[in-house]
Amino acid sequence: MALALDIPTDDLKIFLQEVESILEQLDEDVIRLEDESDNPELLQEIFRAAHTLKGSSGMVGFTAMADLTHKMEDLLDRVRKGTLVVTPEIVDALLMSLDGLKELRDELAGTSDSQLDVAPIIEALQRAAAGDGPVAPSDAPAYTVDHAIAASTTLQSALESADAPLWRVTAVLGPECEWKSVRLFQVLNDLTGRGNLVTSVPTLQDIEEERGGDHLDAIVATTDDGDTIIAALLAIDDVADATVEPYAARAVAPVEASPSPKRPPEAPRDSASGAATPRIEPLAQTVRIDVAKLDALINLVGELVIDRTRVAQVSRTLQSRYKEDEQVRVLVETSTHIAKVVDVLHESMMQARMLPVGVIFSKFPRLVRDLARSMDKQIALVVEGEDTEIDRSVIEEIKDPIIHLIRNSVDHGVESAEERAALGKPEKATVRLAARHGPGHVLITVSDDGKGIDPSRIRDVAVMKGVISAEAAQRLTDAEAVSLIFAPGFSTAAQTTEVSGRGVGMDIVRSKIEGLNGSVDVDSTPGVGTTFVLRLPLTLATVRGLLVSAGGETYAIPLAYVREIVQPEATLQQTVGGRPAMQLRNMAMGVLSLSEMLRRAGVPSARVPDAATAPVEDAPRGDNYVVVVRTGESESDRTVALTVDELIDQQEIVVKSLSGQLGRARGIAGATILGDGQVALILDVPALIKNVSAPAVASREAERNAV
Amino acid sequence: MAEQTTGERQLVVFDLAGENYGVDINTVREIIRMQQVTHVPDAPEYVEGVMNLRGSVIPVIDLRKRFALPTTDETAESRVVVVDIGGQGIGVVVDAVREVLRVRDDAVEPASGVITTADSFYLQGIAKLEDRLLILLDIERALDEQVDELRSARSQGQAIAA
Repeated sequence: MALALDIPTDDLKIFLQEVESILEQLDEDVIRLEDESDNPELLQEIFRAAHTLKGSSGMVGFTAMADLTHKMEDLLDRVRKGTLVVTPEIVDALLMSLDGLKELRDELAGTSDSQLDVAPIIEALQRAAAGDGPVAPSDAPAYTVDHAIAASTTLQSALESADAPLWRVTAVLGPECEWKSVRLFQVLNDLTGRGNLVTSVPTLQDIEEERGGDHLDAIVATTDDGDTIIAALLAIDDVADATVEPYAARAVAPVEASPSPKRPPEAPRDSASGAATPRIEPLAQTVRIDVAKLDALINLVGELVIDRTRVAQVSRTLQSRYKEDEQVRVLVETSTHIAKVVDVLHESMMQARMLPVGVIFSKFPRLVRDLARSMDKQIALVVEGEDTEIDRSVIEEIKDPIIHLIRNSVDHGVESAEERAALGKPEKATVRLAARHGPGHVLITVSDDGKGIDPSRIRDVAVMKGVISAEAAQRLTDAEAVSLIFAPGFSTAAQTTEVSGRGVGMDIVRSKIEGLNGSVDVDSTPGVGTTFVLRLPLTLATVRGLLVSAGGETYAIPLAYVREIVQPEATLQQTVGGRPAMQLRNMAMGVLSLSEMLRRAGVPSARVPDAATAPVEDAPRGDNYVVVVRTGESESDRTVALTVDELIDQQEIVVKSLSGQLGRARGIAGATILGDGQVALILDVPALIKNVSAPAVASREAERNAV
Repeated sequence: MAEQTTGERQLVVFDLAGENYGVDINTVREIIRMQQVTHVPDAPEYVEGVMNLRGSVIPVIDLRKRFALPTTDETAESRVVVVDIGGQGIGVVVDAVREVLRVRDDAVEPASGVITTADSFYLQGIAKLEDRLLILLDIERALDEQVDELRSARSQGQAIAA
């Protein structure tokens, strides 16, 4: 990278983090700017962000970024001062700059090799600045000390009580001046040193906050004579011109005292500084922490949680054995207390991993804007529940699926403005992205008020693609038919555009969400709109699990998938096409014997020697309970009955991943450690369900039944 | 490693099917007694399962199965050698752990030319001690899945590493 200085990696990291967070903020703010172009606080915020970036990139010697942000700052400064009105062109130029900045960031981070040429972007910024025909600052009567004095009785009395001759001083900086604030500060400093500075425009605070401009107007009470002052001011670098004349307090009166719209610098300045004061936050009460460090801490706490259970078990045993012993009593008390503390610690650590979904939601307004513009549609994105918190590991995983769903809504869901007008709908479509907490999970919905999904069309396509037979398709309810869009291989290619290939990604969306122990459902009404509902666990670090035993081993089934538990007697068992099935009430489902399935999948069970060839009946196990599992909310075809030997318990378990050494352990999502120190495997329910419908399994199943 | 510059290496010596193996002590995290192992469906055959090592779940490899040696029941001497492969702990079941030895580099010869029951691909060399030969195992290679795939791609001609 073309850095002027060799900066330490740590500093680079900090710089990149800063860039990252500023870019995120800018992304969001610039989009907002389009609708809130007259919001001075927003403008100020964007300006500050660009300014900060300029400063930091200059500091690390990253000139390309410094140049680009400098031009952004110029443009923004004019907008902020009211000499330029926000136009779509300006927003476009700013967004283009943001894209450029992101590319520059990637170059610096080493994730991109391209050498971005910022010149075209700078040109676009300049064009945007010129496009509106800039209102020359000189056209409006400048805001001067006269205005300030007229508006303030304190200043007026200060002038009257001055104990030295008053001088009206102005200083103008040359156009090539790069350090305007510094120079203005020097001017002000010089004046202050001469006597009593009554007032100045800009004020010291304005200058410190880089809102000084290139011109200073001040009144100073000093015994020095005018020539001395002028000479001193002109000696300061970049001061192009300076005037000093005696000031008469009476000159105040004729100046318009009322605030007029012709005072552009005034209005934003006041509201901005009003808003800025609280925003100069005392160093934020947060600490950035490396994710790896946080994860290591969480692992340690996870170990404590396991040990806590063991200590509790041992102390209970000791208590029953040595009831009278004082030391044992103390031990039990202490272990109870430790258990409480560990629980709180565990919960706090889990909290520490939580992030608001706004972290990713903030990217979507830009996405929707760009998509809508490229397709010439009018779309408003409504975002709700950005504060909803969810584990950061989940957040990272759901971004792509949500992007896909949003693209899908924009591309396929929403009609063009003309179509909408013809249908009597508002021309501007609404895509709604909302998050909210449910018990133990987070619901994220992506909905649009577009044309909806036509179930009969989905049936046709699914049959054509061979996803389902024509006969089966006709039997499906409309809701079930619409759910076919999640089926692998379903792709309405005719509709596929470069924005989103519907179908290509929907099954990936589903498998990704299910991989997180979540589910995705679709609800659509033709002509009215479509809603996708993602149901996600709060965290991946722990899961509520049902502990069962099968074939002598203990397994955990994530409770999110468990619909009900029944005894085999409550069901009607039979075979369908040579495969075991059962009927519960009027619902038919495939049956999977857990112990048998896991043994067949290759568990070298020491307890059941030669299990692979042993007839099912000989296996020393019970299949005493039926656990009904399902991945979605509504799809009956994805329900499977797992038979297990015993139900053990239901508890919050800490999820540990299995290492690569174990190969692709199909059907296993991870492992956990039980209270007695044993490792229990966590079942991967979606994979198991897929297995049941896999042809290979079906044929093996048939063989087994033939034995 | 530092030992190499001084011309010496430190090894943990263990038994496997009647032969002595040595692994670099720097790769060994600890040596523990046999633990209860939870079987994992669909794992490679030489993977015994997973076990709990103070709160982490680590895989346990049966080195006899890994080297296609005849399997035996575990004994009181059986141990799990926990090695560190790329930051990940892996338990390796061996018949017994003997000692920790220092071996001079000039006592080590390349594996070729010496008959062994393990695939020479996993070997760093053979150390000639006064009274016996010591097989120096490249444990990282021996446990690497890709190596396994390579190995199975070659024909079944192991145990004849001549």
